[in-house]
Amino acid sequence: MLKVENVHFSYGDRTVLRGVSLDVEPGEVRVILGPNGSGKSTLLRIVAGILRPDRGRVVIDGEDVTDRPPEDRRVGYVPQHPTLFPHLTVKDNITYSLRNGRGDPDQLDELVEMLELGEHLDRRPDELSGGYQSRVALARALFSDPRVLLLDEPLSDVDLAAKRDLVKRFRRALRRSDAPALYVTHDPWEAERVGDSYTVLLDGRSVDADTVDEALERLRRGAPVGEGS
Amino acid sequence: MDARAALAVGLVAALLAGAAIGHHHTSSRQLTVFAAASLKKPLTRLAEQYEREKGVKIALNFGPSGGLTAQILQGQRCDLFFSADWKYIVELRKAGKTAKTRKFLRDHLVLVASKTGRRKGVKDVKDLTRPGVTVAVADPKAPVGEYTQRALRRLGIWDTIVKNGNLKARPGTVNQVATMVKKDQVDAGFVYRSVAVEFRLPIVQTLPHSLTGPIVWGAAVIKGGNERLAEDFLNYCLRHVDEFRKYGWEPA
Amino acid sequence: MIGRYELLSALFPPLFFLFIAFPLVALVLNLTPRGLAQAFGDPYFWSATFNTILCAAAAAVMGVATAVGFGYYHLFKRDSVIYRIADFLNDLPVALPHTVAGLALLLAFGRRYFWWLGENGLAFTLVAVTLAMFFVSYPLAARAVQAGLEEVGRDLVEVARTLGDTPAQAYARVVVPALREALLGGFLLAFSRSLSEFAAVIMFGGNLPGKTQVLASYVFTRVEAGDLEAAVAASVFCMALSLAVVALVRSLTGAGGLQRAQG
Repeated sequence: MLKVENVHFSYGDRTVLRGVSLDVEPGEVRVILGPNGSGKSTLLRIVAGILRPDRGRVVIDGEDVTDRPPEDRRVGYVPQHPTLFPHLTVKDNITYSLRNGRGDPDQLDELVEMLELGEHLDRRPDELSGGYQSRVALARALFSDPRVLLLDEPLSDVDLAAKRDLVKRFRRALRRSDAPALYVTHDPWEAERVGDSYTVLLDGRSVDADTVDEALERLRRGAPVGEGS
Repeated sequence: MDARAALAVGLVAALLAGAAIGHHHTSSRQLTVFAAASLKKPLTRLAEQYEREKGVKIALNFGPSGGLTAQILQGQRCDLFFSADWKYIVELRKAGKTAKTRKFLRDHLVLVASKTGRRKGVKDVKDLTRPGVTVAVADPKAPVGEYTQRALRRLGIWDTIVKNGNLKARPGTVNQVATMVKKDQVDAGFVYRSVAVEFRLPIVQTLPHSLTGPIVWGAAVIKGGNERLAEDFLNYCLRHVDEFRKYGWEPA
Repeated sequence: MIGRYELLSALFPPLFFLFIAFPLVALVLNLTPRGLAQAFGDPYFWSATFNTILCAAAAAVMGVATAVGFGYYHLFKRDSVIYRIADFLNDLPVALPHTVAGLALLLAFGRRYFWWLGENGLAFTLVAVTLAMFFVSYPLAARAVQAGLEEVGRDLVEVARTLGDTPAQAYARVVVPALREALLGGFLLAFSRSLSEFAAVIMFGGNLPGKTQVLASYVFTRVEAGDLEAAVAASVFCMALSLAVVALVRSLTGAGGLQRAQG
């Protein structure tokens, strides 16, 4: 269970988040929508522990992790560019968290099958296309047995033809994990396929919505909103 | 972008032109003098006096004698040359570059000791062969290094100090030897007397020319330059040789 | 109408070949068998060669290792006093005249303060030669690491930390391996710089033929003594050595650059 409570964040004098709150249940995929620069990536990095909020709290499974570094939070992070470890094989990338005592080696086969990575396990990341790199990034995050999943436009590097299939796979993979997930995307179609619920970030504040259409309507209107519900 | 590029090109052209003009500037009221670096203090003083008395502009260029000789051989503009070693004057004469040559100053090779060296009782060249005593001698590419080697060989102790490890450093210039002794990094070193005076190093022993060979500083009026003025200034320096005595030299 | 950049591109081959390549060629053209015999027959030449390679390699390794440590501070402790001083001083040894550097090392590590470490402190030994080389070449390695980190660093570390690594673990396991090109490049720069270091080494190392003399000084002494043929031979040898090292290191990076799959 993920709770984000009244988080504020500024880069210097530019305030990006002014009181963002949301609750995500186990197994729920919350899609984050918003115009460019609205702080979507920032929000994810705050939940991951890479950034410390100026105000507010992050609570995971009842534990206040706001002051904890990323390595103590047990989150799975798929950043905007896959950022695979270039000197390791695909397999070693996915199972990286084993070095820190996280993840179950028996889970590997299932993940590999789900994301169809069987043939590529011994390859290096620079031998793979964008779509496959995204798969590996997701597998790596899932393998580490995370309490929360954070995906920042994971399919932005993927070409349109491959995207449809990949969205389905991602959806299935996210379903198997019972971790609450925050999923950032610009693509409304992708948002609808993948999300269970939606949050719009506008002007540094958040609004929740139950359907994609509702969320897109808010976005389109660009109306200033009150605190997130 | 265009204006900036034009400005840059113009600047470079101006610099080159300026250098070329400066190079070919020949006025009978200007003298270009090349001199060994150690002559800086006395020569600068005399040049200033001469400038005031005669209304002549003297451009002084100090450097290592070998390097300056090479420049003159390459055709660099020079009217008068003071060398720290007579052999360079001979070299220029053989190349037909000199109008007049003159033996100018005499110097001696001296042994100087550092604070620790004096404490260890270094009083004589032979003390350098004692175990634990360290000495610096200039590299043979500097004339002073050659003189030292020659003298110590004649005394029969050169091989000893090399084998026993008394010789610790062979820096490139005589000034570096002086610095090492001054900063007490070695017990003793061999420098010119003029250098010992300059660095205020107490002289332990003076080596006679019978051991080192003649250490003569020479002067040459360069052919094709401002010969009359050069000779006049050279004679001026010879008359005022006391200025050089102050720094440890003797007239040749 | 020829454009500005076309002009610059057209100027490149003649400028490069005339001022960079031709002097090297001139050196080779002046090589004589007698010079080679003189140089190769001189035991001082071989000891200078051996000492130079040994110390330069050691200095470069030290430089790269220190640069890796510096990289850690660059990534994680950018605001600390140590980093700021180190970053600022990085430019100093390069701007410092070499004899000044040599003198500084001598005063610092000579027998005045380090009398307890031996009769001359660290001075006048091969260790001193290595230290002098390290002093002038470390900044190059550090800058190479800094540049490499800018390309690689931050994202990898963030992801590794979410997978459970402490900053130090992330740095060691993920960043440093990804820096391989930068590290090898830094080693190459530091090694070449060390090979050619002259004034600082003489002052602090002692320049004793057969013991602490390096190749650059050997060549210079030969020139001053008038043995031009031997000097040329030694210089060409030095040049060939440098080229060999460059070729070796480039082969380790995979033929001058990694290939990345597109898309």
